[in-house]
Amino acid sequence: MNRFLISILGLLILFLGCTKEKVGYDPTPYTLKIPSHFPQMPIPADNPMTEEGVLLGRMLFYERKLSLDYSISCGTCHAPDASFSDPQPFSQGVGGTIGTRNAMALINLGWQTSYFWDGRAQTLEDQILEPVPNPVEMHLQWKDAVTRLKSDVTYLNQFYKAFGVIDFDSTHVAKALAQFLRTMISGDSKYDVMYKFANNIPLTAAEVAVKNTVTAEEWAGYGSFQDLNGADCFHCHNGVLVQVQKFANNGLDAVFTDLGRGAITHNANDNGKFKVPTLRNIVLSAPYMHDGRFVDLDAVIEHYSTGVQHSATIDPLMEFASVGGVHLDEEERNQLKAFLLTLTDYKFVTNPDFKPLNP
Amino acid sequence: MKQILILALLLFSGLSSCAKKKVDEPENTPVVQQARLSLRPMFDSDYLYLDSIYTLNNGYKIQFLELKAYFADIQSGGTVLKEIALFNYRDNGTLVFQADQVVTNPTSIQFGIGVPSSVNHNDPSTFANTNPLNIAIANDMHWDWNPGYIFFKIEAKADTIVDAVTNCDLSLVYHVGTDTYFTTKTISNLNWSAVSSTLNEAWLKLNLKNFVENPASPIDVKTETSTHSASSQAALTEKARQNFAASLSAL
Repeated sequence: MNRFLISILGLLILFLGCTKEKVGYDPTPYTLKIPSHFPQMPIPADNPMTEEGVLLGRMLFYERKLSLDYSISCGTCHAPDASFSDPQPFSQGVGGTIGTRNAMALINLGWQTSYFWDGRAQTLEDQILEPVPNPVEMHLQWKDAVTRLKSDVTYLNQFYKAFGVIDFDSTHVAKALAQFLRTMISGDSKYDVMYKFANNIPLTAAEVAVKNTVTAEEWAGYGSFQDLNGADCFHCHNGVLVQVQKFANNGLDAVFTDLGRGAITHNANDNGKFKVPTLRNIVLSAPYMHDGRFVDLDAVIEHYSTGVQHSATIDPLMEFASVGGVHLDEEERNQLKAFLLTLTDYKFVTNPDFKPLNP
Repeated sequence: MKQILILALLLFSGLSSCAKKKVDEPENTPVVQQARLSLRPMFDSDYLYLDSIYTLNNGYKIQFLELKAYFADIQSGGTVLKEIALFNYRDNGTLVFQADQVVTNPTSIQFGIGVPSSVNHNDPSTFANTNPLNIAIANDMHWDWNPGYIFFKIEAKADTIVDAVTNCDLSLVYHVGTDTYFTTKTISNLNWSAVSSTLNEAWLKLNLKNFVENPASPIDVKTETSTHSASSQAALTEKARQNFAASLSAL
C-alpha cells in the first residue's frame, strides 16, 4: 500500500512538472514612451516588446562576454555620453583591430528602414547579428557567445522570462537587443518644441516655456536650415527624425575610396551613397560622416558651404554642388550651428533606463 | 489489479494534459473582390526605367532618378476606390493601390494629384500606420519647412551638351506641392481586366517625355532646373503641374 501511495505521489510530481514551463513564462507587455509628435513605431510581429525582453536587451548591450577576449560590449562603441556613438573615427575591435566606418549613433532605431551606413541590414534584428562575429568588432562566433551566456544562470533565467526558452540562440539575443534599442527614443529637445510650433502642433505649458527660450540666432539657424537659398539641409534632414530614409551622395569625394551602398547593390548608380543619418544629438556624436572625417560641426558646415565635390552619383538635391556648396557667411554659419545645438536631447543621453544595470 | 488500473488511468490523464491541443479546422473565408490600379512610367512609347538614359527631341540626354506621387480620392462611378495612395516607382514599382473594391464604372476614373487641403496640413504623425500620409510612409514626401506634402516629385539629371559623350551632371528637381497646385484628373477610357477571379486591374501611364516636352508648356531643362513650389518658383511649378497631369492617361 505504501508503495502504491509513493507511486501516486511520484506521478503527481511528474504531471506537475509537465506544466511548470507554462506557469513560469508570463512576459509583461512593454509600453513604449513615444512622443506625441512622433508616428507609432512599427514592431515586428515575431518580436513584441516586453518588460523582460527590454531588460534582457539592456543586460546584453553592456555584456562583454559577447566579445572574444571579454574586452568590449555594444556599449563600448556606442557610448551613452556620445549619444551612443563612438568619439573615434573608427571603432577599435578586439585585439586592437580597427573598423572602416564610424559607429552610427543609436537613436530612434525603431523607425529606420535600413541599418548600417550602407543599408545592408533590413531589420534591427538582422543588424544586431553582425557585430558579434565580425573580425574587426567583437570577433566571437555566435555559438560561442551563446555558450557563454548559457553558462550564466542569470541569463538562463532572463531568456526564459523573456522568450520562454531554455535552449536560446543568437536570434533570441538579437530580439532582446532589438527590444532594448527600440526603447531608445529621442524626442525631447529644444528642436522638438520648435518643430511643433512651426507645424502648428499644440504645445504644453512646459513647451511654451521652452519656446520662449529659443534665441533669435537659433530661429535664424532653423530658417537657414530650411531655406532653399540658405543652408538647404531640409531635403535630407527632415521631420521628427531629422532625417529621411534614403541613401545619398552628399559630395564628400570626387573619387570614391568606399563605394558605400554601391558595394551592396553592385549598382554603379549607388556608388558613393550612404544612409542619411539623423542630426539628433549631433553635437554629441562627433566625428562626422561614414568615415568620421570631420572632427566638429564647423568642419561639417565648411564642407556643405564650400567643400562639395561633384561626382556622377551626387544627389540631385545637392543643388549648389556645381559651385562647391551653399556658401554661408560667418553669421549664417554661427546661426546654423546654434540651431544644430538645439537638437541635443539631454534627457535622452542621461536617461538611467539606457545605462548599464551595474555600472 | 485495481491499483494497476488506477495507475494506468492517472498516467493516461497526465500524458493527456501534456499533449498539444488540436488545431481547429480552417474556416472557409469569404471571397473578396479586389481592384488594383497600376501606373506604367513611359518615355514616349518605351517603358521608362529609373537610372536609364533617354534622349529628348533636342538631343539632350536625361536620366530619371526618382518618381513619386500622391493620388487622392480615387473614384469610379461615384464609388471611392481609395482615399489616398502613394506611388513610389523605385520602392514599390508600378503599384498605385490594391484594395477590396468592386469597380462600378469600368471605363472612367477620377482622382486628385496631390493631397487635399483638408488633410494637407495635419500633423503627419497622427495618421494611421498604414496610411500613406503617415510620416513613416511619406518619408521625404512631407515638407516641414512649408508644412504639407509634396504632391509629386520628379528628380533627374541631364546632359545638355549634345555631343558623343554622355555626362548627365545637371540636376533637375521638380517638387510640386502646396494647396494651389492640387489638380483633379479624369480618365474616361480605362480598361479593367481580370487578373484572377477576384482581382481586376487597370493601367495608367505617365509619359515623362511629354512631362518635359509637352507642346503646350515645354520645360527647358537647361534653365528650368528646379522647383520646390516656393512662391518665387511659381511659373515652373505651374508648368510642372500642368505637364504632369497632361502626361497621365490610360495605358
